[in-house]
Amino acid sequence: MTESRCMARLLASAVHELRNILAVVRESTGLGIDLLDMERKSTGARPSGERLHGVLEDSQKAVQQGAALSDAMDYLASASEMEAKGPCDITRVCHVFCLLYAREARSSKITLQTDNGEDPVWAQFSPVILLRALLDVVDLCTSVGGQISLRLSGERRDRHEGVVIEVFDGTNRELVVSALASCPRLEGLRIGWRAKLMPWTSREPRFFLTISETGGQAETN
Amino acid sequence: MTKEDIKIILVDDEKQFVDTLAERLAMRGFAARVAYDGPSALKEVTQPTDVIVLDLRMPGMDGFEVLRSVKKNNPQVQVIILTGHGGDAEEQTAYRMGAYNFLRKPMDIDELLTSIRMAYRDKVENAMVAVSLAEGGDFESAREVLKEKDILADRDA
Repeated sequence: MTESRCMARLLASAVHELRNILAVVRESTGLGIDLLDMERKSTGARPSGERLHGVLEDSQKAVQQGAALSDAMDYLASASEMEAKGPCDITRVCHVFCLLYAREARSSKITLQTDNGEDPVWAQFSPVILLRALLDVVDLCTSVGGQISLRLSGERRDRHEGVVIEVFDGTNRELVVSALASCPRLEGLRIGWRAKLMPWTSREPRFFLTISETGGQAETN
Repeated sequence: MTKEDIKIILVDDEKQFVDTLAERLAMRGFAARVAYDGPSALKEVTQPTDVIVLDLRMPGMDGFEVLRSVKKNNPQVQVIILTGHGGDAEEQTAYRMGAYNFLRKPMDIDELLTSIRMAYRDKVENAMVAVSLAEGGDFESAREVLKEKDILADRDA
């Protein structure tokens, strides 16, 4: 068994367990809400009951967030077993990356967003390679001070599939745009693959991240 | 037909989850029997049953084995998968084996209820179409409808 297969199995098992735990919490809090609703109908609302109702509803929202995170972890488990040539749904990878890395990015005052588009954008490379490249982009933004918002979305442009990275808001926007513009290639990807970062247009603070094969050569700047 | 008439079995080895879910369904007028493992589920399904809500990962006999057995011996019963192990591969396999729907934990109870109602409605409608064809003497078409909808067991399988 390969190490990645081992990690994928352990992660998938943990996600299964996490979902079961979330399901118990969701049903238990749901039952509490049901009972309070019944009481409200029969004897009227009580301040303590209303307070408890609010707390239980907050718990249910937290469970929903946990469920979304567990979906992203499940995707990560299956993605780590995929072939180097994919396939990769770039839209989904952007969603997964934002969910998995939101907390860590916030510590550098970087907000990650994806657009609401659900249409898949398919590409022939491993989701893990793209996740790695997106991490490099965020690290680059962090290295110049962070404090910006990034919006990620899957796009097809001139027969190439990639991620549109829009830099918006934040006090450090110009510095970050400058750093991304001066780093057309990202280092450290899997051997045989490279990531390119190109300006979307000359005027907008947007970039287009693409992944391609190098024919077996390691890419460096 | 009232909602209390839908005969439901909840199958999950997570006792706390399945008991709480049964209690919440009962509060909404749906009486559900529960089973905590595959063999108990297959024993339960020998009683009149419309819809089974089935977990996949259970010790001993897993959900796929239960689904296969139900679709072979009680094909009129609709099976909704409700699992924490919600990978795309499992979902495709479940549908291929005749599952009516595939839901991931943790789910909204209203989403589950909608799925149960739709599964039951489809079961009744399929049976009514088949009866209507059979009453008209078209037994072959009735048989085809039932086979197409996974209601008639393939005895050669």
